[in-house]
Amino acid sequence: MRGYPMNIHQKNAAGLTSAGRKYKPQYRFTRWDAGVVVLIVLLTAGIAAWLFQTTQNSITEDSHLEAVLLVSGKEVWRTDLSVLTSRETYDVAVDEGGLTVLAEAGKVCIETSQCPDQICVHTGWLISAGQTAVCLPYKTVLKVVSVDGQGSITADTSALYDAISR
Amino acid sequence: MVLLLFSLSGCSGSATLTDAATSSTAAASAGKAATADFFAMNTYMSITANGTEAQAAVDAAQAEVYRLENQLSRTITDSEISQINAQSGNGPVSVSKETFDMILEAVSYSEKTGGAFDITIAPVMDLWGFSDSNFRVPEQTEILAVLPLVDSQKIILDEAALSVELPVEGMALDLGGIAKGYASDKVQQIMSTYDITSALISLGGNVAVFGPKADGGLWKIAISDPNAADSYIGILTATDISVITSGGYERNFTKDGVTYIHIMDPALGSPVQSDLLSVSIITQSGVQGDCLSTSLFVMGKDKAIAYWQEQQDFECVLVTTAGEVFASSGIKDTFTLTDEQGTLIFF
Amino acid sequence: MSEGHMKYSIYDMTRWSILTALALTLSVTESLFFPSALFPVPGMKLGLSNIVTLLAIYLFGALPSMLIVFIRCLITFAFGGNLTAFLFSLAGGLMALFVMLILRNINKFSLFGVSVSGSAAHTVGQILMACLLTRTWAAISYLPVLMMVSIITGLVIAGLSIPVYKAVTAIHPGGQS
Repeated sequence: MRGYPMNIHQKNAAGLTSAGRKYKPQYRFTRWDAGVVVLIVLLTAGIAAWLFQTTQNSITEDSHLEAVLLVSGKEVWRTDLSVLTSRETYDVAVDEGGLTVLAEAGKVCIETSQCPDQICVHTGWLISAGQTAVCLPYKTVLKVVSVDGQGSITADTSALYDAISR
Repeated sequence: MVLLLFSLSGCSGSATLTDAATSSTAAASAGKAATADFFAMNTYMSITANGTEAQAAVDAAQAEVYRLENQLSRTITDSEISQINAQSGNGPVSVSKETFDMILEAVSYSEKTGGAFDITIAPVMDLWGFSDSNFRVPEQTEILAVLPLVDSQKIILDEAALSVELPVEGMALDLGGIAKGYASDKVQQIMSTYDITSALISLGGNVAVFGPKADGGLWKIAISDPNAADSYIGILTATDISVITSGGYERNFTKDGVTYIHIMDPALGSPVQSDLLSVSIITQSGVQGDCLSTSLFVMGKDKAIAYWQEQQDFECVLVTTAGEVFASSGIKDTFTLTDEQGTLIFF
Repeated sequence: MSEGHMKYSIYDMTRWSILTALALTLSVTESLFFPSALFPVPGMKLGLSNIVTLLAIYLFGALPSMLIVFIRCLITFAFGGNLTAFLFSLAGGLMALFVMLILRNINKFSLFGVSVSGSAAHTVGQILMACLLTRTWAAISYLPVLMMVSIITGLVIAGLSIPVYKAVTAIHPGGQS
């Protein structure tokens, strides 16, 4: 349009907030940049060392939640719920049909199933050790367990309950 | 250049956490926990033990449940119960002492609860389709036709000969209301012969615990919310106890907008219209818990409370259709409601 | 149409929008070339859309940059639907922005320093969000690996941004908006 951009420029040049004016970026790698990189490396090394030390010391107290999937009593899939950063799915196929398990950070559920009663799907999200979702027609069990640093199942003292009577 | 940078970044070792995450299932050996998960008696079962012989204990427990299923299941053709049912109207059938005692106990509960609990309910369950999941609503005439077959008092028990007879043809036994409770008791007996410190048994929702938890405390047993599959109404803190719950919410079918539950009223031959949504019995005997949970549900709130006041050898939690929770005073200090705004009345 | 009394003109906002679209395009393209299944550790990626963030803080300023980051995350969520991913991007993006703005104001750092501290902050933001979601500090064990990677990606992003910045500002020698 006639004259339109030019007017804007002049108005901007006259003092509208335009970061390009006040903060001109530097292109060359400076000593301060090197300093930042070194700082980050040191911090990282420090955290790594601290982590190493704490896992050595508290390998039995440091427990986390894992989801375990059993079909006809045999474990077919397992995932660590405390380190998931994105969705993870697992499909199960049995003679009569199939179901899909969905795991996200800190929780797991049976997302969909082809079984007739859908009780497993209606169970919803499992978030604490001891909770289970059972698909009887497909003989499949999804459960959450508390696992310690050495991979053994521990009693999760923060679990809401140890068992549920129904 | 970008790709080169990428291959470089891929080489640093994974954190210690991934090691823990990829480790295998629970150690079976010394001092750790062991769990057996399996399907039996038409439901999901989970048995966990802690202690040096934990794995051996849960394996033995699982074997015992399978053994009992083969003996007592109506759907397994060679089981003792199937034989008794097949011979109805044809004379006595010899059974093992174990089965005999179980049937005897079931009959005595039938008497004690005024007929609310009845193992001869099988023909009625078949009529409504609960046995093979072919659900249907039978005509009143059909119900009246099978009602005479429902009467525990008609079972002829010969203790000397260890035989059971169903005198009228068409009579049949279904031990669904007592088998899991009995199995739970047997499993506890067997597990206590192994070197374990504690155990948690869940047979299709019939929960039993014994010994102190791994961290030394008492077990927290939740009671399922009859209205919501994934939540619970309260928690009982205890050990060396069984908690058995019955409710229509677990097995039912809906036809033309009406929901029919699997718990039958033996007097009417149709699903019981109770003012209760669920009954949980807290006791040391699995058999008692199993029998009474069904009976008290059939009785309804008032009769259930009256029964408790009379017997007083168990505790219970009743959830009514009105949303109130009643609990026997014996568990006043050990049972807490989840919903602080909810009504909890002790009797 | 009378841009006199508005602090930001439609012209400015259009340019922000174009850059937001560019950021989205970059992140989609990046995921096509480097699917996250390739990488051993979750959350490891180049982060090409941060080129836009870096440019924005110099070209436009704090508020527009914040808007661009937020809207970029929102649109990705609207089309992808994954709430966890949205929370992660937002946490990382805003944390990076915050740190980069501070470093930008201290004139001693070049684009490289700003970008590296931005990507390091991005990593920290994502890991903190992971800890929040899983209600445990376990995710911190990914920190060392991801931090080292973020130093490299930060340098790369700055290297890629420089020619772009030069090209953009060359078009308008008079004012640098």
